[in-house]
Amino acid sequence: MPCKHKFNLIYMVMKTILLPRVFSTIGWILLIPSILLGIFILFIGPEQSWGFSGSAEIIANDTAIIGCALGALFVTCARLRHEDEMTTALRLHSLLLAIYIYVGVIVVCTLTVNGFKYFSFMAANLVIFPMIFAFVFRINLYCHLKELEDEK
Amino acid sequence: MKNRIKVERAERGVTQQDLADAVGVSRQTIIAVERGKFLPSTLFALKIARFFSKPVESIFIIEDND
Repeated sequence: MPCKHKFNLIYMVMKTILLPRVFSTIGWILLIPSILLGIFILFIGPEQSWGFSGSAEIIANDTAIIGCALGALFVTCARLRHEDEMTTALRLHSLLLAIYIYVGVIVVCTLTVNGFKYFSFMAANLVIFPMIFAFVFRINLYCHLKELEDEK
Repeated sequence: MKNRIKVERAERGVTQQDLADAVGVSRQTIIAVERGKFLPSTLFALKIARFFSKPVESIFIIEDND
C-alpha cells in the first residue's frame, strides 16, 4: 500500500472503530472503583481478617480485573467531544509512550520483585497496559489543551 | 514548516472557531496548527487552502530544515 494512503487509512479506521462518547463516562465509573478494589485485593485484603475469601474472593478478583480492563478501554477508545486528526495523532503518540512505560515497568518489576509477590505483579500485569494507555492519553490530552489555552 | 493561517484569518476577519467549523476540526486543532505544534495532514491542509481560496503552498511554507 502506498505510504501516502496509510495515515488517512489509520485516521478513517480509528474514526470508525471508536466507541460512542457516552462510553467515556461509563469507563470512569467502571475504572475508579475497580482500581480501588484491585488495590484493596493486592495490598490490604489478604492480610486482614475482613478480606475476601472463597467464592467472594474469586468474584472480587474477576470484578477488579474485568472492571479495570473494560474501564480503561472505554476511557481511551470513546470518542472525544471534538474528535479530529489531532486527537488521533495524540492517541497514537500516547499508545507508543504507553508501550515504553509498560516495558519499563515489566523490566523494573522483574528485577526487583521476587517470590510470591511476583505472582501479584503478574496478576496486576493483566490490566496494567490498558490502564497506562488510558492515563497517558488523558494526561497528554489535558496538557496539550492546557498549553494551547495558556498560549491564546 | 510555517504557515500563514493567522495572517489569512486576520485579513478576512475570520475567527479560529469559524475556520474550525468550516474545515471540520476543533478550535484547539486550529490553534495547534497556527502555532506550529501540529502538522496537518494533506487533506486538512487542502481544506484550509480551499477555504481561503489560495494554493496550499502560499499558506503552508516549507522551511530549509524540514
